[in-house]
Amino acid sequence: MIIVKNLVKAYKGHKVLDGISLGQAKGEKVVIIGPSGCGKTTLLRCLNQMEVFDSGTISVAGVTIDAALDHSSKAWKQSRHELRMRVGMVFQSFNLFPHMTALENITLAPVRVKGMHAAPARRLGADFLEKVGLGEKAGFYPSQLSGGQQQRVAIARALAMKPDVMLFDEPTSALDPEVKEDVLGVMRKLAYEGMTMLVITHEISFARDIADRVIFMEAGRVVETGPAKEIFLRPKEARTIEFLSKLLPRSPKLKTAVLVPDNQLSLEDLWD
Amino acid sequence: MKDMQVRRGKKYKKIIEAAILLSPLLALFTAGASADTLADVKARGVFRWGADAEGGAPYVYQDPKDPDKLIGFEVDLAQALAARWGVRAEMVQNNWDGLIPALGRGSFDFILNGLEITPEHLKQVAMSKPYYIYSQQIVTAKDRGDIKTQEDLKGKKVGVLSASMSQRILEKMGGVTIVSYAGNSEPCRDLRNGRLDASLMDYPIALYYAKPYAELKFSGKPFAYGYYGMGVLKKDAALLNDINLALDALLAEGKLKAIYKKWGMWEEDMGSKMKRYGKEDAVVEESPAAGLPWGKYLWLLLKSAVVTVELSVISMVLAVGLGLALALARLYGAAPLRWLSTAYVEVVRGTPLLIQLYILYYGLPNIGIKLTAFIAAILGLGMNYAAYEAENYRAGIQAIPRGQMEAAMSLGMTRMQAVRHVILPQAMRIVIPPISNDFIALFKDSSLVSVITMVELTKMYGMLANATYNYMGLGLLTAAIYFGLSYPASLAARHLEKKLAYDHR
Repeated sequence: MIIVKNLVKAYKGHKVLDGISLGQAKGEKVVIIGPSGCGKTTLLRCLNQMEVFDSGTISVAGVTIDAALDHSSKAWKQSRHELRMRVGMVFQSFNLFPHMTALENITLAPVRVKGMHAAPARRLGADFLEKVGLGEKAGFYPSQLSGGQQQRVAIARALAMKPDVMLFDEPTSALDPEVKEDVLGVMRKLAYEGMTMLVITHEISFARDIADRVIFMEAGRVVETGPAKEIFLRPKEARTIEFLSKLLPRSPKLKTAVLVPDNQLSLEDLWD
Repeated sequence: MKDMQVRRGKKYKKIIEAAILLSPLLALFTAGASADTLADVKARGVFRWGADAEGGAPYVYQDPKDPDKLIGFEVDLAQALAARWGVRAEMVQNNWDGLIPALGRGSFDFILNGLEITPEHLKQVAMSKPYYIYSQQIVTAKDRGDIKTQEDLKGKKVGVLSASMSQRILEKMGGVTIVSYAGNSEPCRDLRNGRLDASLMDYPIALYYAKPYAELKFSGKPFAYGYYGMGVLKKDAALLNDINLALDALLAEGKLKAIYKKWGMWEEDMGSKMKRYGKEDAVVEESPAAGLPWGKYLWLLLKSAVVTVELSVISMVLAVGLGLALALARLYGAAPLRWLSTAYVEVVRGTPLLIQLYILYYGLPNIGIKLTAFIAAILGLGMNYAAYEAENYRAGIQAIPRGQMEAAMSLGMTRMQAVRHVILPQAMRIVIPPISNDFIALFKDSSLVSVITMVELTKMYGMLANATYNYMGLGLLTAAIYFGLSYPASLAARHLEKKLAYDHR
């Protein structure tokens, strides 16, 4: 579903992404972890072409973008548009349109981009609001919703475009702990339904629950990748160990897992 | 000259009446040296004459070749008087409006500045025999043969100096489309570019302003004559007598004729007319606007307020539309568009609206574009305000977080779709207060277009106030009309702002 080859992106000579390659199968859930500034957000932004990259190729659901392509050409613009149609994006700061109701936020793109009629678009929007548990908030403006509710509307908004892949850029880091779980719940549901998901998160218990694979990134490179069980319980790379032990000092079991190579812990033992 | 002195004299009637009441007190300050100005003049060896040199050609004005030097036929006349009396002449600069009160204050010994001999002036000051006989001259384009007499002006578009005797005469006659100008050179310019059929002006003014142009000609004989006399304080009988004696002598010796010949202002029958002074009436028109009932003034003001509203609304629509295009070009356009838009905003913002109006109305005809005053006014105001609106929009758009554009584009929207459906609706709410503020400013700036002959609310006020001397009452009425129109506009803006608000917390 997603193929990334030798992706390089530099800002003023500094390589934010330094030759990233990865693949993700249809229906696979991948979680990216890593310290801030490691390039994980940039990777996601490249995947829906919010960022132009310098070399390499990306391919999502059969749409391929090559950095070598002429960026002013019609073909490039066309494939960029097709790529965005196949990729749904959820931002850390929600980015709901504040001048529209929850329902209007969802129906805008289906109407304007896909040319859907207003009535079926409203039905579609209502369905997706129902799906994220906000059926009765259709007429509310973002300012009248809590952060967790706003993020769930944002997820519904992305889903309404029927993407093949959903990208989540730290979807819960701007949320209070008590509403995080509402959002994670929606994401879990989505995962069980078989959506292909690429998620940046610091929520290790969530990653443990849904991730088929975990990628640890640092300094623009993939340091270590593998099933959640391996990365969390038996990390091989020293930098992964260091990151994990810093990330959750509150869990003594994680420390054991990270620091004792032959521990007998299972994923379920962590953070419960 | 202009009959402004007629009007202005009246304006000061009240002041002078007050002065008379206070005269025992005033005498302490003014006539400290002696009761007779003539004796003073002789003792001092110099007489001081009051005039206004600003825009005063060919009466008293600065020599274009040597701006330190004053020239004009009145300067020559003053020197002739000085030579006769064996004293020096010294001109005292004073605003026209204030010549009579200044004479009362003792700023100078007499007024010598195109003051007409009229009943109004004679109530306030003593006036000498006439030193010049002025008349009205019709000026047309060289190839016009159909306008020769005052009657011929009916049904024509005729330019006049605002509130001048020429205007009064045409108003009284009726049936003429009067276009009134703030200065003397503008009607000549519009005659040359064909906006006017004719212009009516005082003969000396026509000599100075219209004669130099080969494309213009004097059509027919001057008509409707009147007298210029010198204004003296009523108590100065001896001075007045001396002035009259001097004038008689200058006329008899041909010196007066020599001065006017030098300035090209002499007419053969002038000497005989001067001698007949007092035996027949000159033409002295009061403005027909004077002495009307208040309801009529209100009606005239409201009618011109409609012009103000039309001007402001249409030019604001232009400004808001063009401003948006400029802002979008600057923010999202290709490099040349960005550059053009930035240049437009900087140039238009950095130059005065007045000059832009002059260029649009008087400058463009030079390259063959002849706009009507209304169109030029709309374009001038609209294009000027568009520069400010463009900056308002730009600030509003840039205040929208970047995430909004990204979210829209990640949903597959194009940049333009995102701007239209996501960015602009949010930016609008931010820009409504500054734009409505600008609208109210434009509403009042619209009075500037009177320089290109539009008669809107402020211009109408000026014309009525000049005719009636009621600056206070009409001023308050006009201000009330402005406020009555702009206040609902700002209420409407506030309502719109609320309606567009989406922060419903």
